[in-house]
Amino acid sequence: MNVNKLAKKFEKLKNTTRQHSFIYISDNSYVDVEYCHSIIKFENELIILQLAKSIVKIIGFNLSMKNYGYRNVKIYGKIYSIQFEEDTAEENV
Amino acid sequence: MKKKFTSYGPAHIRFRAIGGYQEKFLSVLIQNDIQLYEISEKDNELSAVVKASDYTYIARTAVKNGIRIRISEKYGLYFRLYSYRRRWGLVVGPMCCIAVILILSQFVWDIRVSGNNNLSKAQLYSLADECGIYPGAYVHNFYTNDCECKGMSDIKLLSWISVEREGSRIYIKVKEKEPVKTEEIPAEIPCNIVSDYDGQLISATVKRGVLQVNTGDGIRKGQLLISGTVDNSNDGVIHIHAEGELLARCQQTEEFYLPFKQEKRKPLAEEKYSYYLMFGDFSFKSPLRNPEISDEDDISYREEYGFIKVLGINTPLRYKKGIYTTYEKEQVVYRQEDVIKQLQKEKSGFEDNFLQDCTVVSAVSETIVEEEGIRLRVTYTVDRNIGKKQKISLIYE
Repeated sequence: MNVNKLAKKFEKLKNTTRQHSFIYISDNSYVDVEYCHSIIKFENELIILQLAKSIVKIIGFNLSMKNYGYRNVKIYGKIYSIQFEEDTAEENV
Repeated sequence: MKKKFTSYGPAHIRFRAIGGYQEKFLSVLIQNDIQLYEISEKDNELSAVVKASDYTYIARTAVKNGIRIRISEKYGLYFRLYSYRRRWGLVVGPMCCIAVILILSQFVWDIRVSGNNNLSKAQLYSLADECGIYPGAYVHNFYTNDCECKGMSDIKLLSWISVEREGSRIYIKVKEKEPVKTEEIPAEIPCNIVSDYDGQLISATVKRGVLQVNTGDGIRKGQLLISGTVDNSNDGVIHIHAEGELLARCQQTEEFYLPFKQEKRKPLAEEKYSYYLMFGDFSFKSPLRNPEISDEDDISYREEYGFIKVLGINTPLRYKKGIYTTYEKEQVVYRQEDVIKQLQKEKSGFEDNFLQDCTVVSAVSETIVEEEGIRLRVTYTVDRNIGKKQKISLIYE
């Protein structure tokens, strides 16, 4: 098997088993979320993302998004607040 | 930093996703590593940009999630050119232009000569022409090195020549030999004439000076023949520039040797051929029969040209046949008569080259047969002009 493909698969495996995500906030115009499990809600003023252990709620205006790499997203727009919520689904399990 | 999508970059598509489970749709795409750019939402419609190659997958995923997809904009050179797909002229025109440039760059269009003073440009153009370099010549049909070697051997005035090709232009740069400064002593400077050979003086014509030897006298190398020191009854001794013509009979012995056992270069019976089809100066090698030539072999190459015949009639098409002859070296033991013939040839070659300016009176040959070869000893008696000028050094000058 190609070494690059093997490395890519290994990175994916690492990501699926990881227990935390990184969030990088730059001013109020750009947020970089590393390892986003899924998108729960996507609207012009609200984006809710499912992370490894929690749910993050980004509230702002004119929000737009771009994904890069494996499960990494960048959010642009005028950001007002970022809230964290416990992942109730995980607690129930 | 936001990516800019232009109509000259890679192909991208901006689409609108209407209705259905849009968040789920996005999550599936992100999980499957599909790159989406500028994802935004407005009036319950999702808008994003995706690579054109990923669009098929996105369309399928959208159907699974109950989403209707509409293309709103296309970016990239591919889509820009796609609208011109029926305008063949736009494609054929640039291609023809490139083809014309490529074809024309295969010919010589200009020859420039520099560095010549005494040599005329016509001489150098004709040299280039002999080597196959002329305006309109195919650039792969000549070797600039050959032209340089030919120039150095044919034109005696040259001390250096460089033939370079830059694109379709040939630059011939030359450096001429500086005129050889004759070491003749100027007429106003007093000098003697001394002998430069051993021999016997046959005749002497003195223009200026005093002859120091008589006709029939034996002379040796370096001996004073015409003196520039003259006794003038009024002024005493004066020094003049001696001049005259002196003819002497000289003897010289030369030896030529050749062994019986010699190495001879013998062509092998089998020859290899390569064929080329000619179009003017172009030659295209036939792919069918190409001989394998080893660099280690001693090979000579020659070419034959001919017209291609159809039903016995010559067509304008020509062919070129390259003939490779392989040689092998072998030791040959020659007979005595053959070696003597070879020695006679060497002797006549020597006479042509080195006794050109003399009159050969007699040549007495003596053949000595040795164990391994034959030695030819020739004693020449020649009549030659002798005498070289020597400056008179005056102490009281």
